[in-house]
Amino acid sequence: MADTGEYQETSLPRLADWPLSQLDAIRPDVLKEAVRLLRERLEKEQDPINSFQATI
Amino acid sequence: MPAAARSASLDLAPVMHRLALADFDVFADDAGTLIGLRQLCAAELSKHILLMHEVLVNAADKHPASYARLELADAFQLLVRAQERNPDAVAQILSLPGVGAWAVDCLPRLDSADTGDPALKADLAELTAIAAAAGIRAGLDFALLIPVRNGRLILPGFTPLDTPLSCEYALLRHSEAGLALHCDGSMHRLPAQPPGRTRLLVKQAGLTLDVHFDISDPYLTRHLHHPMADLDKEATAGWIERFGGAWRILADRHPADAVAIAAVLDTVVPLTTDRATIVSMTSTATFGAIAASLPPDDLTLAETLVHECQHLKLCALLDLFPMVADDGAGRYYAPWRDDPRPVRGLLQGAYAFFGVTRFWRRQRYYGRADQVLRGHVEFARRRNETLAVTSALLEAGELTGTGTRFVSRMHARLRDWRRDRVPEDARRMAAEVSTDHAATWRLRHVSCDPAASGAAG
Repeated sequence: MADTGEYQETSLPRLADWPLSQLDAIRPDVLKEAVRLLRERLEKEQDPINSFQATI
Repeated sequence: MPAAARSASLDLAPVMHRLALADFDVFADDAGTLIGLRQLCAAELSKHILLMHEVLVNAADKHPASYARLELADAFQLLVRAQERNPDAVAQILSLPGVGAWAVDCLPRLDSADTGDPALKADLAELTAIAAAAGIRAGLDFALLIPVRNGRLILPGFTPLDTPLSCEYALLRHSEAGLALHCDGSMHRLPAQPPGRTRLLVKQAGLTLDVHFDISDPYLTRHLHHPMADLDKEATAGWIERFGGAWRILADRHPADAVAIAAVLDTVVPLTTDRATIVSMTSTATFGAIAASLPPDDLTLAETLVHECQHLKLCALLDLFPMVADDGAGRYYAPWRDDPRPVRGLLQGAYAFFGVTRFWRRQRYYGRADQVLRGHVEFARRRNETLAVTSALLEAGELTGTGTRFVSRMHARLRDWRRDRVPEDARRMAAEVSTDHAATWRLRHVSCDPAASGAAG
């Protein structure tokens, strides 16, 4: 697969690599926007459970 | 954290998650690249940390009395210390599906509940259980007030420990000397190294599946219904045997899907069901977990794992990239469900059955004659149904540009697979099953226009 160098960008800060002790040092607007987008996604999810049932 | 206690913002801006377009596309074309899968897992950990931080900030601002009484600042400091000692251990705990479910439940309650609400108190106190689990894994000495649920100490990532204590909260002390709970003047000793969750480790063809069973995490099981009340030795043995067989099928014949499953699946919640029904599910809130009843054979479990891990991958992708614009009122036919589905549900089903189609496309050449026939029928049926659903999704006009790109690639792949040869008898059986479901669905959900039917009569 050819790497075109193009990326899909997101608004989710990479906190997986960030020290927990430094969370409050992050620009509040960055965190607020990421939380807003995630909560919006969760609220729009009309059916958050993906369930499959079959009779055998 | 209370505003006064927070360190001043230094206005630092972390790097944002991003995904190479080439890796994004492989999720739509196939099972995903290893780099892409690792990116999704890292993004879900970031999401859990972000939401946990939001819980702390909101708790401190909106419910300062509970924040202080439950010693949440101490809990967070324990997490900080644990990360400094053993970052991998903390990442493992914070990545748990139950931690995601907890944050998703807790945030709206912080907005709506009164400070005295016992459900809010229980939700907030869970953070101390998360911190204690991380502290134990990191090998720290600590003392923390944590919840005791009906005499049980339930720490994320560990098997619950029963105690004779009747208090709601107890002081948990952990040190080299061991683990002990203190409440109401009494002390109860616990194993110094509490047992982890029941673990299943299977290896085949150089691929390892490392998952855990969990029927105890209160937040995980709230999202994934009807877990078994008790996973005894016999039930565990049944699952282990079935997983062994399913993993042999996947690792030997479906390595790309096996790699994806090994990367995203952490937890299995065994469900109870009657013998005539098989059930499986995932939730947007619980990345890394699937719930399922014990399938009747290894092949069905292999198919179920592919199906449910497709959902897990799509849930994580949707956390990063909106693929559906605001849902319209449109409801659509889904060949795998009896109810009309909104576009979001239709997209989830299409992606799950795209994976199922890929599975049967390969699997139909292996096994006994009846298994080969089953494979051909399943492949033909799901290929045609998923192709029709991806067409419906593209025509619905409710996808974003990213969603259109994703579904178009699935659609193109399914169209290519239409050229694959299917024996005539299998093709006929697949068509009969699809037609039967569609006709039954139409009888249930499509109403006649009385004026039109009157004119016809």
